[in-house]
Amino acid sequence: MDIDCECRIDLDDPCANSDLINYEVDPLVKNMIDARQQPNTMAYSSAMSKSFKLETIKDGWGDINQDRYSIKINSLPPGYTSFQLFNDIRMNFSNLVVGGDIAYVTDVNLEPYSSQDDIMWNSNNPIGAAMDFDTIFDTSTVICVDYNAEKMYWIFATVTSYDHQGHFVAGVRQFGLEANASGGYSFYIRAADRLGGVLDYVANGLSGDEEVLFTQAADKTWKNLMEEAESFIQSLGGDVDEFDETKTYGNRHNYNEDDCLN
Amino acid sequence: MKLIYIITVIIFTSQLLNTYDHTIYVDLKQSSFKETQQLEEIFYQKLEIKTNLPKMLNIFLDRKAEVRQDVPLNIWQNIKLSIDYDFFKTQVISIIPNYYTEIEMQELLVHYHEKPHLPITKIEFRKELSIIVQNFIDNEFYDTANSILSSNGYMPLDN
Repeated sequence: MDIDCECRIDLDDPCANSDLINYEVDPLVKNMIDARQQPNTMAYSSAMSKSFKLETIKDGWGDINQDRYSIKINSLPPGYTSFQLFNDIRMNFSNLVVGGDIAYVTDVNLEPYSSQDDIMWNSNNPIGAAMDFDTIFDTSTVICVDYNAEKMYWIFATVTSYDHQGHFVAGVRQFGLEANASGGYSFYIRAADRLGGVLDYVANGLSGDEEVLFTQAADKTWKNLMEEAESFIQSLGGDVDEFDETKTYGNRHNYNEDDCLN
Repeated sequence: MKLIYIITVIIFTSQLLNTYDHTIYVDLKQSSFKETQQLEEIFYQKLEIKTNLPKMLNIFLDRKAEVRQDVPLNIWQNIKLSIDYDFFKTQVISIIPNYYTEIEMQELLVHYHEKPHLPITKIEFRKELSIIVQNFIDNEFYDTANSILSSNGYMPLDN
């Protein structure tokens, strides 16, 4: 138990996020994703194209990134149940995702893939909603593949979409609210992903450059999200400890070759 | 005399042929250069950065407009329309050959011909793009925005 977040964190555990490393998208959800089509705008015909292709962690390459970030909520906003807060965070998610620390270059704009996805994301069951993470360079699409109101979490999985080709990681990321050991709650983010998707393995190899994508873009985006979530909960009147990325709960987990893939 | 005539004809013809060969060579070289340029331009047109850079900067200006309500909306619109993205395009096109050979470009264009965009597949290319983006924003973007704001009597943006 980590004393700063009152939650379970073991940075040396190579299997800390093994549930996410081995996560399999429910076949029904996969069928729903596979069935989505849209007009092929490049074909000048009525041809339809598949909208999405799941990019699983097994499709990626290189070291697995495991992370778990938490903010400690000492008391909920007045009049809020834990689920209401969880739901408010999801409904305001596009305002909380601002990107990394390098002005403009790592800025992120989150929006639904289509109007259909907008309706799905804002419903009581967001499974199947596709969301776009826009950056100046490109746009990466994820799909909500899991949602559990009782356990208060949702999971995004990376996909290659027809409209956008931009993902440089492949894997899943979980967002949730859970009770902590001191009677309060933790809003957390957990992930298991690795480089993959559109990156050319032969051209990039494992030169060390790939770490930049995690440290300057992805990792900072999630840490900044925790800070935005902290401000958001405070604005509602909740009592939240300051998110400090130097603490254990702000560190990525160590990777071990024995990474629990098998 | 006849020998001298033959030699002169040979030399003259040879010079003509050389000139002709050279002309063909130069034409081919220029044609190839143009084709490569066109290929890089087509490659650029398929990169999502072409649409995402203006999109993200316009979102930035929309957010500024919400905070800076002293500035009329038509001024923000004027800024959006005045930013010269051709400068950015030229810079990107000039570095593409440093990262992609003609064959690689052609392969990617063929592979993604039925998709609206092709991805940035190389981390080093992405890193240099980020430097170009930063320079573009620090100079062209801010200069244009602040010049328009100042000439209309408004405070410039903080950079």
